[in-house]
Amino acid sequence: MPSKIYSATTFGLESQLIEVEADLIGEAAKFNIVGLPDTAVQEAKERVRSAIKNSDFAFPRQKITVNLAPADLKKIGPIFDLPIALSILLTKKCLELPVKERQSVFIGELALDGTLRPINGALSIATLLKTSNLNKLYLPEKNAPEANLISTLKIFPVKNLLQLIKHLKGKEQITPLPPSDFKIDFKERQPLSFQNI
Amino acid sequence: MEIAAAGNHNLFMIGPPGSGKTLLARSLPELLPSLSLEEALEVTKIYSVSGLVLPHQPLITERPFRSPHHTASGVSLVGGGSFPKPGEITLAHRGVLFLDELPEFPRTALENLRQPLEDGVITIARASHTLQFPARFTLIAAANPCPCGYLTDSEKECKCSPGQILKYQKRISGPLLDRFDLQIEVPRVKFIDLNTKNSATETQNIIQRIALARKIQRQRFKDNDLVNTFTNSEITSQNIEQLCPLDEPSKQLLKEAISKFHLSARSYHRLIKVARTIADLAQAENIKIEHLAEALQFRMP
Repeated sequence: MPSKIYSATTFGLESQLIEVEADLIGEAAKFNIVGLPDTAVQEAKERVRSAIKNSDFAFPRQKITVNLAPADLKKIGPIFDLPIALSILLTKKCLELPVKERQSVFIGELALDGTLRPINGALSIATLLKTSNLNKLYLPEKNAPEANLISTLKIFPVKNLLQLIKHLKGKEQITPLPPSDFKIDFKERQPLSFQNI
Repeated sequence: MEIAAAGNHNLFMIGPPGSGKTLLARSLPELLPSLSLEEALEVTKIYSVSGLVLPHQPLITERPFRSPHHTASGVSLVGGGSFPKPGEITLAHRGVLFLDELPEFPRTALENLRQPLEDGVITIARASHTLQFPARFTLIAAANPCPCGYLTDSEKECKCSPGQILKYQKRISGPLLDRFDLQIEVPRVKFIDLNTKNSATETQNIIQRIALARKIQRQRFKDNDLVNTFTNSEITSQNIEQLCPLDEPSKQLLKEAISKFHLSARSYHRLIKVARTIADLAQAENIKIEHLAEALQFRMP
Protein backbone atom coordinates (compact mmCIF):
# COMPACT_ATOMS: atom_id res chain seq x y z
CA MET A 1 0.00 0.00 0.00
CA PRO A 2 1.44 3.34 -0.94
CA SER A 3 1.47 6.01 1.75
CA LYS A 4 0.47 9.59 1.23
CA ILE A 5 1.15 12.73 3.26
CA TYR A 6 0.95 16.42 2.60
CA SER A 7 3.78 18.84 2.19
CA ALA A 8 4.11 22.23 0.52
CA THR A 9 6.56 24.33 -1.40
CA THR A 10 6.93 27.99 -2.25
CA PHE A 11 6.56 29.23 -5.78
CA GLY A 12 7.43 32.87 -6.16
CA LEU A 13 5.96 34.37 -3.03
CA GLU A 14 2.98 32.03 -3.06
CA SER A 15 2.89 28.42 -1.98
CA GLN A 16 1.48 25.24 -3.35
CA LEU A 17 0.40 22.06 -1.65
CA ILE A 18 2.41 18.96 -2.58
CA GLU A 19 1.37 15.37 -1.99
CA VAL A 20 4.25 13.08 -1.11
CA GLU A 21 3.60 9.43 -1.90
CA ALA A 22 5.89 6.47 -1.30
CA ASP A 23 5.61 2.84 -2.33
CA LEU A 24 7.72 -0.31 -1.98
CA ILE A 25 7.85 -2.48 -5.10
CA GLY A 26 10.00 -5.54 -5.69
CA GLU A 27 13.11 -6.76 -3.92
CA ALA A 28 16.01 -4.89 -5.59
CA ALA A 29 17.33 -2.19 -3.23
CA LYS A 30 16.70 1.04 -5.13
CA PHE A 31 15.50 4.52 -4.29
CA ASN A 32 13.81 6.73 -6.85
CA ILE A 33 12.28 10.18 -6.49
CA VAL A 34 9.97 11.28 -9.29
CA GLY A 35 7.97 14.47 -9.89
CA LEU A 36 10.55 16.80 -11.47
CA PRO A 37 13.01 16.94 -8.57
CA ASP A 38 16.04 19.23 -8.81
CA THR A 39 19.48 18.24 -7.54
CA ALA A 40 18.74 19.27 -3.95
CA VAL A 41 15.64 17.04 -3.93
CA GLN A 42 17.59 14.18 -5.52
CA GLU A 43 20.19 14.45 -2.80
CA ALA A 44 17.44 14.07 -0.22
CA LYS A 45 17.92 10.32 -0.76
CA GLU A 46 21.22 10.34 1.10
CA ARG A 47 20.00 12.63 3.89
CA VAL A 48 16.82 10.61 4.37
CA ARG A 49 18.70 7.32 4.40
CA SER A 50 21.09 8.53 7.11
CA ALA A 51 18.41 10.29 9.14
CA ILE A 52 16.25 7.16 9.25
CA LYS A 53 19.22 4.97 10.22
CA ASN A 54 20.26 7.43 12.94
CA SER A 55 16.73 7.54 14.31
CA ASP A 56 17.05 3.78 15.06
CA PHE A 57 14.98 2.51 12.14
CA ALA A 58 16.14 0.21 9.38
CA PHE A 59 16.04 1.65 5.90
CA PRO A 60 14.00 -0.69 3.65
CA ARG A 61 16.07 -2.96 1.36
CA GLN A 62 13.49 -2.83 -1.39
CA LYS A 63 12.74 -0.68 -4.38
CA ILE A 64 11.30 2.57 -3.08
CA THR A 65 9.50 5.01 -5.32
CA VAL A 66 8.67 8.45 -3.97
CA ASN A 67 6.32 10.62 -5.99
CA LEU A 68 5.93 14.33 -5.50
CA ALA A 69 2.59 15.44 -6.93
CA PRO A 70 1.58 17.48 -8.95
CA ALA A 71 4.18 15.86 -11.17
CA ASP A 72 4.47 18.74 -13.64
CA LEU A 73 5.68 21.30 -11.10
CA LYS A 74 9.43 21.51 -10.69
CA LYS A 75 10.38 20.74 -7.06
CA ILE A 76 13.31 22.60 -5.66
CA GLY A 77 15.24 22.69 -2.41
CA PRO A 78 15.57 20.42 0.60
CA ILE A 79 12.10 21.21 2.02
CA PHE A 80 10.80 17.69 1.18
CA ASP A 81 13.38 15.75 3.26
CA LEU A 82 11.04 15.34 6.22
CA PRO A 83 7.90 14.28 4.31
CA ILE A 84 9.95 11.84 2.21
CA ALA A 85 11.43 10.23 5.34
CA LEU A 86 8.00 10.01 6.94
CA SER A 87 6.31 8.54 3.89
CA ILE A 88 8.99 5.84 3.68
CA LEU A 89 8.49 4.92 7.33
CA LEU A 90 4.74 4.88 6.76
CA THR A 91 4.83 2.62 3.74
CA LYS A 92 7.22 0.28 5.57
CA LYS A 93 4.68 0.14 8.41
CA CYS A 94 7.25 1.31 10.98
CA LEU A 95 4.74 3.97 11.77
CA GLU A 96 1.05 4.56 11.28
CA LEU A 97 -0.47 7.94 10.63
CA PRO A 98 -3.25 8.56 13.18
CA VAL A 99 -6.55 9.63 11.61
CA LYS A 100 -6.33 13.06 13.21
CA GLU A 101 -2.96 13.64 11.50
CA ARG A 102 -4.18 12.79 7.98
CA GLN A 103 -4.74 16.51 7.32
CA SER A 104 -1.33 17.62 8.60
CA VAL A 105 1.40 19.20 6.54
CA PHE A 106 5.09 18.33 7.04
CA ILE A 107 8.04 20.40 5.88
CA GLY A 108 11.72 20.45 6.77
CA GLU A 109 15.29 19.75 5.79
CA LEU A 110 16.97 16.82 7.53
CA ALA A 111 20.50 16.68 8.85
CA LEU A 112 22.23 13.29 8.67
CA ASP A 113 21.56 12.70 12.36
CA GLY A 114 17.85 13.39 11.92
CA THR A 115 17.85 16.97 13.26
CA LEU A 116 15.65 19.40 11.39
CA ARG A 117 17.23 22.39 9.69
CA PRO A 118 15.31 25.59 8.93
CA ILE A 119 13.78 26.11 5.49
CA ASN A 120 12.70 29.15 3.50
CA GLY A 121 9.14 30.34 3.03
CA ALA A 122 7.49 29.04 6.21
CA LEU A 123 5.22 32.08 6.47
CA SER A 124 4.15 31.77 2.86
CA ILE A 125 3.20 28.11 3.42
CA ALA A 126 1.33 28.97 6.61
CA THR A 127 -0.63 31.61 4.67
CA LEU A 128 -1.61 28.97 2.14
CA LEU A 129 -2.82 26.58 4.85
CA LYS A 130 -4.98 29.31 6.33
CA THR A 131 -7.13 29.23 3.21
CA SER A 132 -7.23 25.42 2.97
CA ASN A 133 -8.84 22.87 5.25
CA LEU A 134 -5.46 21.66 6.52
CA ASN A 135 -4.72 23.23 9.84
CA LYS A 136 -1.73 21.44 11.35
CA LEU A 137 1.79 22.30 10.31
CA TYR A 138 4.89 20.37 11.43
CA LEU A 139 8.05 22.29 10.69
CA PRO A 140 11.61 22.91 11.94
CA GLU A 141 11.78 24.53 15.35
CA LYS A 142 13.55 27.62 14.04
CA ASN A 143 10.82 28.35 11.50
CA ALA A 144 7.98 27.94 13.99
CA PRO A 145 7.80 31.56 15.25
CA GLU A 146 7.38 33.02 11.77
CA ALA A 147 4.71 30.47 10.76
CA ASN A 148 2.97 31.18 14.05
CA LEU A 149 2.13 34.68 12.82
CA ILE A 150 -0.87 33.01 11.17
CA SER A 151 -2.98 32.54 14.24
CA THR A 152 -5.61 30.11 12.93
CA LEU A 153 -3.15 27.25 12.53
CA LYS A 154 -1.69 24.72 14.93
CA ILE A 155 2.07 25.03 14.58
CA PHE A 156 4.21 22.14 15.84
CA PRO A 157 7.91 22.94 16.21
CA VAL A 158 9.91 19.78 15.55
CA LYS A 159 13.48 19.24 16.80
CA ASN A 160 14.31 16.01 15.05
CA LEU A 161 12.84 13.08 13.17
CA LEU A 162 12.78 10.79 16.20
CA GLN A 163 10.81 13.32 18.24
CA LEU A 164 8.20 13.57 15.49
CA ILE A 165 7.93 9.77 15.20
CA LYS A 166 7.36 9.48 18.94
CA HIS A 167 4.73 12.20 18.70
CA LEU A 168 2.90 10.44 15.88
CA LYS A 169 3.03 7.17 17.82
CA GLY A 170 1.49 8.98 20.77
CA LYS A 171 4.47 8.39 23.07
CA GLU A 172 5.78 11.90 23.57
CA GLN A 173 3.60 14.82 22.60
CA ILE A 174 4.96 17.92 20.90
CA THR A 175 3.04 20.91 22.20
CA PRO A 176 1.87 23.34 19.56
CA LEU A 177 2.97 26.97 19.96
CA PRO A 178 0.52 29.26 21.72
CA PRO A 179 -1.04 31.86 19.40
CA SER A 180 1.35 34.76 19.03
CA ASP A 181 0.48 38.23 20.16
CA PHE A 182 2.11 40.83 18.01
CA LYS A 183 2.71 43.14 20.92
CA ILE A 184 6.14 41.80 21.69
CA ASP A 185 7.35 42.70 18.26
CA PHE A 186 6.10 46.25 18.01
CA LYS A 187 8.48 47.52 20.63
CA GLU A 188 9.24 51.17 21.23
CA ARG A 189 11.81 52.49 18.84
CA GLN A 190 14.87 54.22 20.11
CA PRO A 191 14.38 57.94 19.63
CA LEU A 192 16.97 59.09 17.16
CA SER A 193 18.40 62.49 16.63
CA PHE A 194 19.75 64.06 13.51
CA GLN A 195 22.54 65.62 15.45
CA ASN A 196 25.23 64.11 13.32
CA ILE A 197 23.80 65.12 10.01
CA MET B 1 13.70 64.57 2.86
CA GLU B 2 10.64 65.20 4.93
CA ILE B 3 8.39 65.23 1.88
CA ALA B 4 9.92 62.04 0.50
CA ALA B 5 9.32 60.30 3.80
CA ALA B 6 5.79 61.57 4.22
CA GLY B 7 4.46 60.70 0.78
CA ASN B 8 6.82 57.95 -0.38
CA HIS B 9 8.11 60.08 -3.22
CA ASN B 10 11.20 59.13 -5.16
CA LEU B 11 14.14 61.36 -4.43
CA PHE B 12 17.21 62.14 -6.51
CA MET B 13 20.10 63.91 -4.83
CA ILE B 14 22.94 65.45 -6.74
CA GLY B 15 25.96 67.05 -5.14
CA PRO B 16 29.72 67.08 -4.68
CA PRO B 17 31.48 64.24 -2.83
CA GLY B 18 31.20 64.39 0.93
CA SER B 19 28.17 66.64 1.01
CA GLY B 20 26.20 64.13 3.03
CA LYS B 21 23.98 62.53 0.39
CA THR B 22 24.60 59.03 1.64
CA LEU B 23 24.20 60.03 5.25
CA LEU B 24 20.88 61.70 4.48
CA ALA B 25 19.59 58.65 2.66
CA ARG B 26 20.63 56.29 5.44
CA SER B 27 18.74 58.38 7.95
CA LEU B 28 15.50 58.19 5.99
CA PRO B 29 14.21 54.89 7.46
CA GLU B 30 14.43 56.49 10.90
CA LEU B 31 12.00 59.17 9.81
CA LEU B 32 9.46 56.68 8.56
CA PRO B 33 6.71 55.36 10.80
CA SER B 34 6.79 51.64 11.69
CA LEU B 35 5.03 49.18 9.46
CA SER B 36 1.39 48.51 10.13
CA LEU B 37 0.52 44.90 10.91
CA GLU B 38 -0.76 44.16 7.40
CA GLU B 39 2.35 45.72 5.86
CA ALA B 40 4.59 43.85 8.30
CA LEU B 41 3.05 40.51 7.28
CA GLU B 42 3.51 41.37 3.61
CA VAL B 43 7.19 42.23 4.14
CA THR B 44 7.84 39.24 6.40
CA LYS B 45 6.44 36.91 3.74
CA ILE B 46 8.95 38.23 1.21
CA TYR B 47 11.80 37.85 3.68
CA SER B 48 10.58 34.39 4.66
CA VAL B 49 10.74 33.18 1.07
CA SER B 50 14.22 34.69 0.77
CA GLY B 51 15.30 32.98 3.99
CA LEU B 52 16.09 36.25 5.75
CA VAL B 53 13.78 36.00 8.76
CA LEU B 54 15.57 35.63 12.09
CA PRO B 55 14.08 33.09 14.52
CA HIS B 56 14.20 35.46 17.48
CA GLN B 57 12.43 38.19 15.54
CA PRO B 58 9.78 36.46 13.46
CA LEU B 59 7.89 39.58 12.41
CA ILE B 60 9.68 42.34 10.56
CA THR B 61 8.41 45.62 11.94
CA GLU B 62 11.00 48.06 10.69
CA ARG B 63 10.77 49.36 7.15
CA PRO B 64 13.39 47.68 5.01
CA PHE B 65 16.33 49.72 3.75
CA ARG B 66 18.20 48.13 0.89
CA SER B 67 21.30 49.63 -0.63
CA PRO B 68 22.77 47.35 -3.30
CA HIS B 69 26.24 48.17 -4.54
CA HIS B 70 26.49 49.58 -8.05
CA THR B 71 27.94 46.34 -9.39
CA ALA B 72 24.45 44.83 -8.97
CA SER B 73 23.10 42.99 -12.01
CA GLY B 74 19.67 43.52 -13.49
CA VAL B 75 18.36 40.22 -12.16
CA SER B 76 19.62 40.87 -8.65
CA LEU B 77 17.73 44.17 -8.64
CA VAL B 78 14.36 43.13 -10.00
CA GLY B 79 14.39 39.42 -9.21
CA GLY B 80 14.45 36.43 -11.51
CA GLY B 81 16.42 33.32 -12.25
CA SER B 82 15.02 30.09 -13.63
CA PHE B 83 13.17 29.67 -10.31
CA PRO B 84 12.36 33.34 -9.86
CA LYS B 85 13.49 34.78 -6.54
CA PRO B 86 12.65 38.24 -5.21
CA GLY B 87 15.24 40.88 -6.04
CA GLU B 88 16.35 43.99 -4.21
CA ILE B 89 13.30 46.02 -5.27
CA THR B 90 10.97 43.41 -3.80
CA LEU B 91 13.05 43.18 -0.63
CA ALA B 92 12.66 46.96 -0.37
CA HIS B 93 8.85 46.64 -0.59
CA ARG B 94 7.18 49.15 1.76
CA GLY B 95 10.62 50.55 2.52
CA VAL B 96 13.50 52.33 0.88
CA LEU B 97 15.74 51.31 -1.99
CA PHE B 98 18.85 53.43 -1.99
CA LEU B 99 21.02 53.51 -5.08
CA ASP B 100 24.22 55.34 -4.26
CA GLU B 101 26.33 56.53 -7.21
CA LEU B 102 23.42 56.09 -9.60
CA PRO B 103 25.39 56.75 -12.83
CA GLU B 104 27.79 53.92 -11.95
CA PHE B 105 25.02 51.32 -12.17
CA PRO B 106 24.85 49.42 -15.45
CA ARG B 107 22.35 51.08 -17.74
CA THR B 108 20.38 47.88 -18.36
CA ALA B 109 19.98 47.33 -14.63
CA LEU B 110 18.56 50.81 -14.13
CA GLU B 111 16.16 50.65 -17.06
CA ASN B 112 14.68 47.51 -15.46
CA LEU B 113 13.41 49.73 -12.67
CA ARG B 114 11.20 51.83 -14.93
CA GLN B 115 8.12 49.64 -15.01
CA PRO B 116 8.10 48.60 -11.32
CA LEU B 117 8.53 52.24 -10.32
CA GLU B 118 5.22 52.98 -12.02
CA ASP B 119 3.23 49.88 -11.13
CA GLY B 120 4.52 48.88 -7.73
CA VAL B 121 4.80 45.29 -8.90
CA ILE B 122 7.29 43.43 -11.03
CA THR B 123 6.03 40.75 -13.38
CA ILE B 124 8.63 38.15 -14.18
CA ALA B 125 7.79 36.06 -17.22
CA ARG B 126 9.59 32.81 -17.86
CA ALA B 127 8.87 30.13 -20.43
CA SER B 128 7.07 27.90 -17.95
CA HIS B 129 5.27 30.46 -15.81
CA THR B 130 4.74 34.11 -15.00
CA LEU B 131 5.16 35.46 -11.50
CA GLN B 132 4.40 38.73 -9.81
CA PHE B 133 6.37 40.19 -6.94
CA PRO B 134 5.27 43.31 -5.08
CA ALA B 135 7.72 46.22 -5.34
CA ARG B 136 6.21 49.32 -3.81
CA PHE B 137 9.27 51.15 -2.59
CA THR B 138 10.67 54.64 -2.26
CA LEU B 139 13.63 55.07 -4.54
CA ILE B 140 16.37 57.29 -3.22
CA ALA B 141 19.29 57.89 -5.53
CA ALA B 142 22.48 59.86 -5.12
CA ALA B 143 24.92 61.00 -7.76
CA ASN B 144 27.78 63.36 -8.40
CA PRO B 145 27.13 65.97 -11.08
CA CYS B 146 30.24 65.07 -13.10
CA PRO B 147 33.14 62.55 -13.07
CA CYS B 148 35.33 64.71 -10.78
CA GLY B 149 32.30 65.55 -8.67
CA TYR B 150 32.76 69.27 -8.14
CA LEU B 151 30.64 70.79 -10.92
CA THR B 152 28.07 72.23 -8.53
CA ASP B 153 30.57 72.96 -5.78
CA SER B 154 30.83 76.58 -4.75
CA GLU B 155 34.46 76.40 -3.68
CA LYS B 156 36.32 73.71 -5.56
CA GLU B 157 36.76 73.96 -9.29
CA CYS B 158 35.53 71.27 -11.66
CA LYS B 159 38.21 69.72 -13.84
CA CYS B 160 35.95 67.96 -16.32
CA SER B 161 35.51 68.86 -19.96
CA PRO B 162 31.97 69.65 -21.16
CA GLY B 163 32.01 66.43 -23.14
CA GLN B 164 32.86 64.38 -20.08
CA ILE B 165 30.11 66.03 -18.07
CA LEU B 166 27.54 65.43 -20.77
CA LYS B 167 28.59 61.80 -21.12
CA TYR B 168 28.38 61.28 -17.36
CA GLN B 169 24.95 62.85 -17.06
CA LYS B 170 23.66 60.90 -20.04
CA ARG B 171 24.22 57.66 -18.16
CA ILE B 172 20.91 58.25 -16.43
CA SER B 173 18.13 58.11 -18.96
CA GLY B 174 15.43 60.74 -19.29
CA PRO B 175 12.55 58.34 -18.60
CA LEU B 176 14.19 57.24 -15.35
CA LEU B 177 14.86 60.82 -14.27
CA ASP B 178 11.25 61.67 -15.06
CA ARG B 179 10.19 59.20 -12.38
CA PHE B 180 11.90 61.09 -9.59
CA ASP B 181 9.33 63.37 -7.97
CA LEU B 182 11.91 65.29 -6.00
CA GLN B 183 15.21 66.28 -7.51
CA ILE B 184 17.42 68.22 -5.18
CA GLU B 185 20.90 69.62 -5.15
CA VAL B 186 22.87 68.90 -2.01
CA PRO B 187 25.41 71.68 -1.41
CA ARG B 188 28.78 71.41 0.28
CA VAL B 189 28.60 71.51 4.06
CA LYS B 190 30.25 74.63 5.47
CA PHE B 191 32.63 74.37 8.41
CA ILE B 192 30.39 76.42 10.64
CA ASP B 193 27.47 74.05 9.98
CA LEU B 194 29.66 71.10 10.88
CA ASN B 195 30.09 72.48 14.35
CA THR B 196 26.51 73.45 15.09
CA LYS B 197 24.21 70.62 15.92
CA ASN B 198 20.52 70.22 15.44
CA SER B 199 18.63 69.54 18.58
CA ALA B 200 17.00 66.18 19.10
CA THR B 201 13.62 67.80 19.67
CA GLU B 202 13.67 69.17 16.14
CA THR B 203 14.07 65.65 14.80
CA GLN B 204 11.24 64.45 16.98
CA ASN B 205 9.05 67.21 15.54
CA ILE B 206 9.85 66.11 12.01
CA ILE B 207 9.06 62.49 12.85
CA GLN B 208 5.75 63.55 14.35
CA ARG B 209 4.85 65.71 11.35
CA ILE B 210 5.57 62.79 9.02
CA ALA B 211 3.53 60.39 11.10
CA LEU B 212 0.63 62.83 11.11
CA ALA B 213 0.83 63.45 7.36
CA ARG B 214 0.77 59.69 6.78
CA LYS B 215 -2.25 59.34 9.03
CA ILE B 216 -4.09 62.05 7.09
CA GLN B 217 -3.32 60.28 3.83
CA ARG B 218 -4.45 56.89 5.11
CA GLN B 219 -7.68 58.36 6.40
CA ARG B 220 -8.40 60.03 3.07
CA PHE B 221 -7.87 56.77 1.20
CA LYS B 222 -10.08 54.90 3.64
CA ASP B 223 -12.82 57.51 3.18
CA ASN B 224 -12.60 56.94 -0.55
CA ASP B 225 -12.63 53.14 -0.33
CA LEU B 226 -9.04 52.74 -1.44
CA VAL B 227 -8.00 50.02 0.95
CA ASN B 228 -4.68 49.15 -0.63
CA THR B 229 -3.38 52.67 -1.00
CA PHE B 230 -1.15 53.90 1.79
CA THR B 231 0.63 57.01 0.54
CA ASN B 232 0.16 59.83 -1.94
CA SER B 233 2.69 58.45 -4.39
CA GLU B 234 0.42 55.46 -4.95
CA ILE B 235 -2.56 57.48 -6.16
CA THR B 236 -3.59 56.34 -9.62
CA SER B 237 -4.29 58.81 -12.39
CA GLN B 238 -7.99 57.88 -12.32
CA ASN B 239 -8.30 58.98 -8.71
CA ILE B 240 -6.09 62.02 -8.83
CA GLU B 241 -8.80 64.52 -9.69
CA GLN B 242 -11.06 63.28 -6.95
CA LEU B 243 -8.36 63.14 -4.27
CA CYS B 244 -6.29 66.16 -5.20
CA PRO B 245 -8.63 68.94 -6.32
CA LEU B 246 -6.84 72.11 -7.44
CA ASP B 247 -8.10 75.66 -7.10
CA GLU B 248 -8.08 78.14 -10.00
CA PRO B 249 -4.76 79.93 -9.31
CA SER B 250 -3.00 76.58 -8.89
CA LYS B 251 -4.36 75.35 -12.19
CA GLN B 252 -3.12 78.51 -13.83
CA LEU B 253 0.35 78.05 -12.33
CA LEU B 254 0.46 74.43 -13.41
CA LYS B 255 -0.55 75.36 -16.94
CA GLU B 256 2.25 77.90 -17.16
CA ALA B 257 4.81 75.55 -15.66
CA ILE B 258 3.98 72.76 -18.04
CA SER B 259 4.32 74.90 -21.13
CA LYS B 260 7.45 76.60 -19.84
CA PHE B 261 9.38 73.56 -18.62
CA HIS B 262 7.86 71.13 -21.16
CA LEU B 263 6.79 68.72 -18.45
CA SER B 264 5.49 65.28 -19.37
CA ALA B 265 2.05 63.98 -18.48
CA ARG B 266 3.70 61.81 -15.86
CA SER B 267 5.48 64.78 -14.33
CA TYR B 268 2.16 66.61 -14.25
CA HIS B 269 0.56 63.86 -12.15
CA ARG B 270 3.61 63.46 -9.97
CA LEU B 271 3.72 67.18 -9.33
CA ILE B 272 0.17 67.19 -8.05
CA LYS B 273 0.90 64.23 -5.79
CA VAL B 274 3.95 65.93 -4.29
CA ALA B 275 1.87 69.09 -3.77
CA ARG B 276 -0.72 66.92 -2.00
CA THR B 277 1.97 65.62 0.36
CA ILE B 278 3.25 69.12 1.07
CA ALA B 279 -0.31 70.18 1.82
CA ASP B 280 -0.72 67.18 4.12
CA LEU B 281 2.47 68.10 5.98
CA ALA B 282 1.05 71.58 6.45
CA GLN B 283 -2.24 69.94 7.50
CA ALA B 284 -4.12 71.83 4.82
CA GLU B 285 -7.44 70.49 3.56
CA ASN B 286 -6.82 71.27 -0.10
CA ILE B 287 -3.79 71.97 -2.26
CA LYS B 288 -3.03 75.67 -2.41
CA ILE B 289 -0.82 77.54 -4.81
CA GLU B 290 2.13 77.69 -2.41
CA HIS B 291 2.15 73.93 -2.06
CA LEU B 292 2.20 73.51 -5.79
CA ALA B 293 4.94 76.10 -6.17
CA GLU B 294 7.05 74.24 -3.63
CA ALA B 295 6.49 70.96 -5.46
CA LEU B 296 7.48 72.64 -8.69
CA GLN B 297 10.83 73.82 -7.41
CA PHE B 298 11.83 70.22 -6.69
CA ARG B 299 11.68 69.47 -10.41
CA MET B 300 14.91 70.76 -11.84
CA PRO B 301 14.30 71.59 -15.47
